[in-house]
Amino acid sequence: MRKQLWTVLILLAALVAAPAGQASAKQAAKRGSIFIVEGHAGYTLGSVFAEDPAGFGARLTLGVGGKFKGWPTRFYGIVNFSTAALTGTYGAGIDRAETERSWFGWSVGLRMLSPIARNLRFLTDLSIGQAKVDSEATILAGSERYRTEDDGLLVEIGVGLQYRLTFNFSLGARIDVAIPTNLDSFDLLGELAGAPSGDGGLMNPSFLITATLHL
Amino acid sequence: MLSRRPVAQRLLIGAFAIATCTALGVRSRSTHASPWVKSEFKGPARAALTIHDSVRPGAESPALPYDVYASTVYGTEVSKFGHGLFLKTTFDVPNTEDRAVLIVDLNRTGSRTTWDGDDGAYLKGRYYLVAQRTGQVYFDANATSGELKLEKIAIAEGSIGFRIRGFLELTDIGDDRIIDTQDDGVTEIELVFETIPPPEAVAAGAPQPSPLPSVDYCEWPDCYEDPGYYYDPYDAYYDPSCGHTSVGYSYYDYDDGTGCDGGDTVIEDDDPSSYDDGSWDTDSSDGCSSDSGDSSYYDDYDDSSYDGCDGGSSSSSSSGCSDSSSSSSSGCSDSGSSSSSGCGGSGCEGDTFDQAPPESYEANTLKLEGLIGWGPMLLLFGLVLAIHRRRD
Repeated sequence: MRKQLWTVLILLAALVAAPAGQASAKQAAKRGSIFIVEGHAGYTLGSVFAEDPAGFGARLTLGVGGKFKGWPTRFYGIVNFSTAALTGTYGAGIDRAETERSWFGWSVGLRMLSPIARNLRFLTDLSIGQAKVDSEATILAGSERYRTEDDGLLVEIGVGLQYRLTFNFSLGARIDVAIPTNLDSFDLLGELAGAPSGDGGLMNPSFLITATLHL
Repeated sequence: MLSRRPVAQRLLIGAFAIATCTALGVRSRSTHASPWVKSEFKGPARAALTIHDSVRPGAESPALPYDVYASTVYGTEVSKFGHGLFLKTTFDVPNTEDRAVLIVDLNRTGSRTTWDGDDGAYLKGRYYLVAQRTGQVYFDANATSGELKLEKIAIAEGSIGFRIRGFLELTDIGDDRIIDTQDDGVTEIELVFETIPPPEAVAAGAPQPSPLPSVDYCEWPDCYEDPGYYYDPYDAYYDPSCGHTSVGYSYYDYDDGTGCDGGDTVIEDDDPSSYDDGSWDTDSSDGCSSDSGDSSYYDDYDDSSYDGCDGGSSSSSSSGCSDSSSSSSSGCSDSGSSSSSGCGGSGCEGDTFDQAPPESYEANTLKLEGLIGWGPMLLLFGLVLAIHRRRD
């Protein structure tokens, strides 16, 4: 059994390595790339929550696509997996409540990548998927602790700039907004913490640095 | 042709598979709980509380009771119970401005609609006070006796309304961590929790005034500013003149005519010992008026009396329990000038909360479910098949 597993792995590795071994970089550049693997990291605001938490956000984007002949703009079908760890406080003194929101999301959509200078591109993403939020609150100096879970439909919109440093690598920066469309309008955790649900906003903005592999 | 031995083996394996799957939950017990139990809900509510700080260590006499009207939050998902209902009310203690928090967690399992304060398996109550200056919790009590009742409930598509009424005795066992000792502190709280909107409105499928006086409950920690209506949980009546009640034992803590300051508190100025707690009408269905027959309403307790008023079609009574299906001689006062003349004690005839026996909603059935059971079953059947093919 182990021998069979190793055989399968070696074959897969060979499939992946074979094109790279056969084609020179020049040939690859001539042929172009169709896959992207992109990592994002940065600052995320949880504006949809009444206590306005903020924290670290990260995302992995996988995409495949290309361009039409004679048309400079590239189109990619993309899949996003995003996460964010947001912390916030509400109230002061004895009313102070601390919240932690763990955000997990996935979405599928379309990327449009347009060249605006030699190696500089402008990108626009639009995707739809699902968001899941695990929330915890500590209230009145630890006298009460609560945990809730929620999920909802997610629409993500992103714009950014990307500079292609090499044929296989780009760096960029972007702004994203994540719009959870049907999270519960009554945020029980926020309400328990004293934050009225009505104070929540419509979208979570993110400011991200991106690193992209073109394959 | 198969020999007898493999057949016996297959039967043995099949029997083992069924036994295994049964043990792992393929044939598991499931229940048909009532909507009250199955429903998951959350939202805003309001509470009318009367706080009796009955016993405090070192205090010679108990403090005067006071009334509190406060916003409340309820939700099922934060309950400690599997099918629970969690209610939290926060308010300022009069005079001290310390923060008081009342938490009631109710277990709905078994379609339960009454809860004893000393039954920790079905009710968890906590009342604690936090000092404004230091932030320290200086009184932390848990429910030790009392009783709560689900007085009314209305479940419609996408919304729920309920009213819970009763009283709780909560005891802080003190530093010695032993109950019934000198350092114990006891608070008794008479309470009414009512959803926003109230069950009558949910049942009617349209906005409808609460049978409770229409006090504007402002958001915690502020208080309502309209003192025009005063709900007295003792007598279930209200007096539109702030600070002047017909029985004269209550006054608001200020009466400049612009509102009741100090939040939502009302100080009782007579001797609390003169109260007959037993006369407090926990069954005063001050709001049985409702329009029944709304098809959007689903109540498993009694299809014909979802609001606890059998056949009720009256919409005129805001504090009484008038019921068109029963005669006025049932003792339902339309104005509820006092509980003794209203729906006190045993309540109005035909106005009892008709609760079907819980057993009727828990017809236990056995059905196949669960991957944890199906997995081994498929595996074992595959094994049977493999043996079969090998032997053949």
